[in-house]
Amino acid sequence: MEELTGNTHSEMLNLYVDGELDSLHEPGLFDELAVNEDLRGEMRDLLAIRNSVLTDSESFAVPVNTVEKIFNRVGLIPPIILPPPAAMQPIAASGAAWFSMFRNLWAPAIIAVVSIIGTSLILTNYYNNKIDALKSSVPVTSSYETNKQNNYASQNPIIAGKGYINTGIVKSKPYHKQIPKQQSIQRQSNQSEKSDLITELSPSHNFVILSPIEATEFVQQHISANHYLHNELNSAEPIPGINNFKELINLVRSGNTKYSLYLRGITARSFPEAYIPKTSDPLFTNLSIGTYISNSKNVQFGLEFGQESYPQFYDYVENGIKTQCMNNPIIFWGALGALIKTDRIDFLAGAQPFGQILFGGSQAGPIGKIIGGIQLNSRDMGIGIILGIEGSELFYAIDKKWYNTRKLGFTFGTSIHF
Amino acid sequence: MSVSLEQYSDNELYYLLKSDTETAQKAFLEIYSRHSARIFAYCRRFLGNKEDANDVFQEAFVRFFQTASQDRVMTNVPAFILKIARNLCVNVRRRNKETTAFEDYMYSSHEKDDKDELLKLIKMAMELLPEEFKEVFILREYDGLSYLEIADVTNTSLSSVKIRLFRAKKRIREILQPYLSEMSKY
Repeated sequence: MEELTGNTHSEMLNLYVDGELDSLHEPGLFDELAVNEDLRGEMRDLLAIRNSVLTDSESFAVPVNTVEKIFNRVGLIPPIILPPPAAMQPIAASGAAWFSMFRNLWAPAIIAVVSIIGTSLILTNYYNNKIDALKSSVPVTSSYETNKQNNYASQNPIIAGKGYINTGIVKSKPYHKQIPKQQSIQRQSNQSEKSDLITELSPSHNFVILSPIEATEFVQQHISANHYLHNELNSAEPIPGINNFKELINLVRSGNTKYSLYLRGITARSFPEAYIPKTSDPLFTNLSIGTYISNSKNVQFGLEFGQESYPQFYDYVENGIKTQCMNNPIIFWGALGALIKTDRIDFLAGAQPFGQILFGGSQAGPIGKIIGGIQLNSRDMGIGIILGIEGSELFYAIDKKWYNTRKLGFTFGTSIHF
Repeated sequence: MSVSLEQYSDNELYYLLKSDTETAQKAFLEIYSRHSARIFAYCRRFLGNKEDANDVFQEAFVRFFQTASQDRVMTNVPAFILKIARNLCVNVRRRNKETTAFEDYMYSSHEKDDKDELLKLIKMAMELLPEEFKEVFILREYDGLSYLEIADVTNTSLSSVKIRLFRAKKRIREILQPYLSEMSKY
């Protein structure tokens, strides 16, 4: 084979491009390149070939299962081979990001709106309207007030009208005289439904004089027949619907122990953020349900379960090239929780700020959550809404290496307290 | 306790292959991670056939691991693996010489992943090169070996490497000249 002299400019150029040219020859090459267009063209061609070869990813791609075969053949445990990073998606898909965000938002948003509207309707439309209607149609005089008005009782013996609407009871003077003032106050709180219906009737009505016992029986019949709502909702009187629910609550509750159920929607952004679709799309996602128990007024402990999308970020090494991959699986988690809330704040419509901490596990790994927000519960029915900010962190191991992802967002939903 | 071997040199990792199983496994995986792509590229381009390349590639790493039990002084791990791979490739080439040339050409011209037209032409041009030219071109351009390393792997002199490489590039440029001239206008 003939020897290269290494003295032609083309030979020197090839050596230079390969990093093999002696430094003594470089000035001569550079001088020639400055004036020789053909030589510059040759240099462009050599660099174009080299750059093109570097893009030949197909030639460098070792089949994924090859490493497993090699390790098995030499008697070593093959490394865990992750599936090809199919989850690696172009980050620039901003449209998909908005779509994904909407998909995450709509379910909890609807739940929250429905719960807010439902709770408002229960509180305002049902209770307030009934109470107001009752109060406006039936002038109320308490037994205590009646007791103070000695002259009133003496002038109006116990009477009952024949018609229900305009019928009322005025307790007799002897009745009040037999009851000391202190007992009368107690009676007011315990049997206020009776005194609510005490009213003054016009002389034109037909009256029936009742004894105290008869008056009590009459009041009970009156309430039962007309389904009137008492202004004291803790009454044990059988009011359909409302009292059935309260009886159920009383059945569940034993002593001072109270139970709470929470249904929350979760919408949060992960850090780092993943703009890729979820790996699956179950019917219930980004939701959690929890049951809590408490013996004190402000502290609850319980269990909570949820299902939500939780992006994962990890390194994937193949053919010596380390690539950061992302995945967006749906994880199912369960956690122990503790909840602390304040007393009702009147100027916030009785809302109760609360803090909650959860720690548990998922199929991916341990998970922790911290939630802060407000609860707005009806005073009597135990139905409420919650609105808060939730921060969470998921730890997960991939290929024996631990990673973590954080999420921050909103949580809102409903609660029922027994 | 988990020990990262990323900081170890190739030669240190090679000697760790003689250690306990767990350490050997980690060391072997690290070597594989560092050099598998280049070794496979050599086999892939040299043989032109993906299945043959995969078989040779596996065999090369298996034999490399087996050499660790011998008392060998290691100076250049990738070059050593390439030597093993080259010997295997030459054997396969010799065995299949009558049929592979045509298949290689057909396969190369229909690779789905080749979106780059120049790359496709380069691969075709490589197939038209004499074997010894093609080999040094692969070792230089795909594996990034220096002239001395190429001489070591191919068991030839440095001057031979220079000549072969110069002529390989010149031949490829000649084949691609119409395309390269057109490309240079833009």
